[in-house]
Amino acid sequence: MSDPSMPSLPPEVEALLAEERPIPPVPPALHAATWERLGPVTQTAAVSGSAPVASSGLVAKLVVGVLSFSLGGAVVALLDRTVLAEARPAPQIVIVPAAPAVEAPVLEPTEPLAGKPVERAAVTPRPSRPAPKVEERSSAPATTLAEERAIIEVARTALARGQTADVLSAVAEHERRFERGQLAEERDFIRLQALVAEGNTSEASRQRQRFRERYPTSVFLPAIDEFGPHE
Amino acid sequence: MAEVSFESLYHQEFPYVVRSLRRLGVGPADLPDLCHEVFLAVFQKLNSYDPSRPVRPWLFGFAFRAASEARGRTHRRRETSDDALAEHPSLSDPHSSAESNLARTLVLEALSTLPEERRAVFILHDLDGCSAPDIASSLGIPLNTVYSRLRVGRGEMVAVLQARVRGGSAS
Repeated sequence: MSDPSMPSLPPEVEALLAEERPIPPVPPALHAATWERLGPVTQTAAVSGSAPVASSGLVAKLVVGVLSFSLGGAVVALLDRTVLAEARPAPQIVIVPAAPAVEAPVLEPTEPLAGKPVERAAVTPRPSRPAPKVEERSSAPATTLAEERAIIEVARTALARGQTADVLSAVAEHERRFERGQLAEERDFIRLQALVAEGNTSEASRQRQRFRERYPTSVFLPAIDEFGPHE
Repeated sequence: MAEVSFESLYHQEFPYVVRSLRRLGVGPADLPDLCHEVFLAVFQKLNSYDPSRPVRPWLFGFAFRAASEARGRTHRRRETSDDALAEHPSLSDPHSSAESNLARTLVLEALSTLPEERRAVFILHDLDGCSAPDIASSLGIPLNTVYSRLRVGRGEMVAVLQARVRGGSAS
């Protein structure tokens, strides 16, 4: 509760603040779309069966980088139209090197989440410790990162649609232009998923081993162990 | 100690995070990206959260830092202050009256006049009802700093809101 030692605010100010205190509902589209954007990370943890763990700053940058632009425009559009659970237009897979691929949302038709039951944590006040710092941001030029994001988003969209040839094409494009880019880990993870999806077990095994060597602390490791292929 | 799943935390506290971001000056157009950033960071740090402690100040710390960093991105498209502050139709509570939505907008406008450090303290104390020690923990600042920022921030908010109220009455 707020500090009782602080003096009361004037009544007219208190009345205004009282209107602002209740937390209003949010657009279900925003709620659902954000959850969907978090999917690659949360599903990775779910596959591994592990609780969320603090991961490397690189992964934070990777996932934020890959996803931050790709769906933002789509969600804003949804906000403006207050659209929920409508079928999205089929995204076009186009490699756009210089700008975020905002026209290629990977939103699937979503179900309203507002009525979803949630379990409540047993939370009782007590002196708390400092919240962790948000991961540091990259110092790379924004344009370069945006170009990386655009290509990776093409790969991700193709992967979601099962178009493995397009995935591998986009991955190769990214590797050619940004071999050691900020999103290289995400790229290699996507490539591995595509290889597994198309049944190329020998190359997938090779890439999995390579991934382990390049990213020994990756949060994706449990996931790639799960979806194989296994030697 | 009860475990907190990320999913339950997300679905339970998503509206709070959205509102906190709005109070911190994040415009509707930036909400999707910032919400994503906040919960991504929350996911990665969830194992450091103690469920016996209040969750909202802990979450607010993520929202505050994300909003602060977003303000620093000069290359990002920013909305005009009016657009950012006016309550977006889809973010308004459909069950609220016009007066209530106006009051909310006035509060957001007044908050926007405060420096972000004092704004955060004011939000946590006077809107979220957090104790000063929880605010200190949430923002990682000394307790005395909380009190000093709160005293100054409250004075600024009162001055701005009273001026708006008088101006509105006069017009």
